[in-house]
Amino acid sequence: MAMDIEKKIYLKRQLGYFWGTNFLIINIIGAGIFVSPKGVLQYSSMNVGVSLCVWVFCAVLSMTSTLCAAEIGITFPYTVAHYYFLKRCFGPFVAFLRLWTSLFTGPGVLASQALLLAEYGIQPFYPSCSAPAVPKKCLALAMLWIVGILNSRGVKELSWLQTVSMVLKMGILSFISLSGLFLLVTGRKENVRRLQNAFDAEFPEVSRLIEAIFQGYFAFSGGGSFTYVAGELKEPSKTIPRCIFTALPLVTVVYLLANLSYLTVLSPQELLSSDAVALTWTDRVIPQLTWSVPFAISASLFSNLVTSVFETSRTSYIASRNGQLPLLCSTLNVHSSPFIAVLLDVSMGSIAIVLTNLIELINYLFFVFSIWTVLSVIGILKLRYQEPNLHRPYKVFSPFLFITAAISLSMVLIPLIKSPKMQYIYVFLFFLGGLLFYVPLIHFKLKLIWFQKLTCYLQLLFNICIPDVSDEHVAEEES
Amino acid sequence: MNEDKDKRDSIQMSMKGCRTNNGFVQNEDIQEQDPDSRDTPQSNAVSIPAPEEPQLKVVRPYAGMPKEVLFQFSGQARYRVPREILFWLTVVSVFLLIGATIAIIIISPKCLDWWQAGPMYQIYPRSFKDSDKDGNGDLKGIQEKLDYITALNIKTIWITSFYKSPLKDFRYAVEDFKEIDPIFGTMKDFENLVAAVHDKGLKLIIDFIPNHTSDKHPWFQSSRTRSGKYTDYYIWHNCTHANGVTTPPNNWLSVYGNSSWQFDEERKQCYFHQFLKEQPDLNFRNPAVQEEIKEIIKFWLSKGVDGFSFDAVKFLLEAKDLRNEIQVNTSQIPDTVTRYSELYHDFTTTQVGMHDLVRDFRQTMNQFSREPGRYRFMGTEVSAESTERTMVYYGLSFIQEADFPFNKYLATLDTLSGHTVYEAITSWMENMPEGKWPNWMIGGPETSRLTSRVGSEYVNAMNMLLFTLPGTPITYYGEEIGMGDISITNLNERYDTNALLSKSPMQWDNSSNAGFTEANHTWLPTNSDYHTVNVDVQKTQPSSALRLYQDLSLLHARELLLSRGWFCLLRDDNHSVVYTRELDGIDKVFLVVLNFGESSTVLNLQETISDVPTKLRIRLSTNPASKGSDVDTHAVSLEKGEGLILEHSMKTLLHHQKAFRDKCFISNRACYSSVLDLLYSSC
Repeated sequence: MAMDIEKKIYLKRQLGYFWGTNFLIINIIGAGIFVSPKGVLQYSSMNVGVSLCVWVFCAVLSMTSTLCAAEIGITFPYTVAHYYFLKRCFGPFVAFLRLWTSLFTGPGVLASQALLLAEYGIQPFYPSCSAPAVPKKCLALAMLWIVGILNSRGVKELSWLQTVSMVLKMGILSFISLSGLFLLVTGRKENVRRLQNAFDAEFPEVSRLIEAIFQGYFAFSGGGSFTYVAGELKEPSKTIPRCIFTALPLVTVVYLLANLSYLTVLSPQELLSSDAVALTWTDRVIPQLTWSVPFAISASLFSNLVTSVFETSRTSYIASRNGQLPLLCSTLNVHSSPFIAVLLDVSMGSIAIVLTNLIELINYLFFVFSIWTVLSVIGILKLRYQEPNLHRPYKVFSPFLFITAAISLSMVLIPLIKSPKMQYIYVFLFFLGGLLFYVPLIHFKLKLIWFQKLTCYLQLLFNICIPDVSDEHVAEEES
Repeated sequence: MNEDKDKRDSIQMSMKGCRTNNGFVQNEDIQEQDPDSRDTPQSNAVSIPAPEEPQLKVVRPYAGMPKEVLFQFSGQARYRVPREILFWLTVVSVFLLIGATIAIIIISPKCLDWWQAGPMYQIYPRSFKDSDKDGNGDLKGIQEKLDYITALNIKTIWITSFYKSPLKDFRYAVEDFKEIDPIFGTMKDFENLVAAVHDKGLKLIIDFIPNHTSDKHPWFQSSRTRSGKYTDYYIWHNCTHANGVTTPPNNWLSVYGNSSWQFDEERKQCYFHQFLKEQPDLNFRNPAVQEEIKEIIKFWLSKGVDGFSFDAVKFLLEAKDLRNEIQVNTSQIPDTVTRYSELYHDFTTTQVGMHDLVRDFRQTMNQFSREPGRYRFMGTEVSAESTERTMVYYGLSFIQEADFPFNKYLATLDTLSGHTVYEAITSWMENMPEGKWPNWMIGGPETSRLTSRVGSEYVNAMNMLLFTLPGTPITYYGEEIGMGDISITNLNERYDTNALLSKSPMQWDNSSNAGFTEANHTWLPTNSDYHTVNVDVQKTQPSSALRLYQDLSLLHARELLLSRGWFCLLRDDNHSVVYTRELDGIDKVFLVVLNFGESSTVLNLQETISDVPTKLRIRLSTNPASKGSDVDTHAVSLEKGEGLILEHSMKTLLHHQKAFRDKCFISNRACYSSVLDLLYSSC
């Protein structure tokens, strides 16, 4: 017990450049690059040249929005920095609504990712039809619980897993890319001809082009995720930009080469006929490896699940530290991991896996995220005006702010115009529910005696305690 | 983690261990005094005992306690032991879940592939839909009607020959196997059609005729001039040609009559053709020809085609030594033997090596079948063959051949009765190799339409038969609305008139040309009954053939009984056929009764199945008025052409009963668990 008492329990600044780059790459490369090329090509009216240009454009858009998040993470180098940021700019209630959204979308993301992982893992055993739901749910639950256990062990012990996963993701895509280059260079006639005539197909109309950009943009999403770990990075003002300018160009190059490779080997029609383009591609190039691709994608998704649990648990932890969730969520275990937050998210994710209808409901909320992005941009501008002397080691180029806001606004408004009204009544009711929780429990600080006792007991049962060092001290040490 | 939650709810709260937090908690809503100061999280202050009290006060756990307090208590057995138990319970649960996943995968039966999962729809492309107003149907027209095909719950579209070809033998004299005939559109149109078909989740198979080409094919033109490798692409032999009269090398006849040898002026030899003289047979004993055919197969598979119907397969090889074939009537003068049916064709069909060629094609297609969900289908056309020879096309358990030969037993029935239908069913089911998959057709481009062959009263009963038999139902376009043959007195075409009657334009609505085209003319006249027999009208009539077809198709898609269950053929008589569909794990049984007789009939089902209930519910009927009502199993009354699907529950399924065991068939055994919503095979 003496050693335990000596060891300090708090979220430590122990993550460096290498870890951060891995973290970003893992967040950006999901299942998207293995399936999105179909959507981009389809909405580019099968114009190969246009679809490649769309990918480049999406990379640039992704860079602008990621750099906006960078300013938030560097100016406020705390864990879940965007939460502090919204609280600072717009007050605790807006921050709470952001939290309220995350409390439901977080488990939804976990459930969706776990089920997708399970589906890719099982589908090779059911070559002619969809896999039945029961084994998918069993495997998804098992994977989610494994990830929960891993996250409870602390950040350092996840590092090797992150590295292996990043290598696996980049390995798959690099293999696809380099093989495509090789085929292109060796100059088989039909392969070369396809790319030489890249712009021959008809040009898509504007609305379809916008749709194509959305398809590609989602494959790049996740670049802003390091605001979740800004409080645990060493020298965030240096580490964050370095990670961004390493990871994002790297991913962009690999994505472009992968698409080039897909289009070298497959005709546009073949690509559109495929449900998983990497699978079709492998079947065409190295048939013996076809069966390994779903497993590789599945293993790749596992790391996304790990980082998702990591991120959602930190959201709950920090919100609790700010008094917007019960005290119980601000406890850490002996590994300095927010155990209760992990447990809460994994439990809710498990419920969502078993009751898959919930995932469909939760998906309605995802368009709300674009609102938060717009608010973030407004917040950055607001602070620049109201607090011009605030210490800003990094300032994003102003036009990037407007570009990001425009993208996010269009993502809010376009669905609003297209979609039926019932969906938005649902979203409105969701926010109203948030208000109903906020007023009695947070604004007026009602204390529930039974919950205090439960908190005490669970602390003893799970050996979890209030952290030794406040986040304020951690921030001060850094600066 | 669900176990964790349940466990935690049952944990008894210990009153001794807790008390309310007395520590002061700073109010985080206090406004910041200094606008330049950083926003900082509020930390919870820890209660610090006064220095004069430590030896007097016992520290007790409280909500929000720091580790110094926590570690004094959390190491106690009553906290440590449950903690360890919960952890290991979680670990064990993970392994159990993974084990359950693996177990379910192991016991799952093989899935039905796409060509087994739903009906096929055969389209004669020249007669389906015209999109460019030239009076001929085309590929774009088919694409325009994909929503209609989808609404029929069709899974596979089968397009008959559309290759570039002169107008001989309905496009089975192919001039270029890698080109679309201009009358149907361009290759771009075809590629767009394939993409559209796949986009709707359908599959596409096409005809392929490897036995022969057109005499206008570049290969044949080169072969006539003995150019390079093409010299022996066809079957050439010396023959005598003097004074305009050809003496062939032997007595082999063409399917259409007269000698199958034709003298060629250019080469000064005779070439062999088993069909028209414009359709010379390829020489499949030449390995280069085999490679050419495989190359064509790969060409279309890379275009995204999902499979082929191989046509005229039995004609692929001929005996090398050119022996005469034996006359059916040995006393007939040889010079007067001119009809194909007057010879036994032991030297021109089904030669040794022919099935090896088919297996070779199958292996070529397997190279494109590795990707999950992208299996390439092979069907073989079989005509005028014995049952034994038909079944050989399924291949053997250790070597693959066709997925199925097309079953035309019902499509060639001229006399309809309970006995003849029963015979057609048992001929296939009893002779099909074990584990293979049956299929059923009730018409096609080479036979007279069902309505005209046996009468319009039987359309609904035949469609009900089609969808309740085990295997893949195959529908020829128009059968879903009960289209009949046309009557023709004269034609511009040089075709055999009788072969055209079942190829009339599709009847879409009652506008001019039945909605098939906006042109002033059609390549074949529309049937005169198109004002009442058309898609639009039948959509609105509850009692129409189309509505029943859709109901049957939907039932087939939804009920595991019909797609995966046992088939027990119980009885037949002069009028009716009775059979059941059942599946272990599903209490429900479908009992199908169909009247193919000349008049109405009454059935006593209790004589057939001793433990059948006295009342059965009608699940579906050819007469929609009776749907949902009950029938008395003592006396089930069926009008002429009427069919019923009766539903009831049964304690002991028929295929478990000794009396019926020999009458039951299944391709792949499977059982169903309604609790888990799973099919499993260990039963």
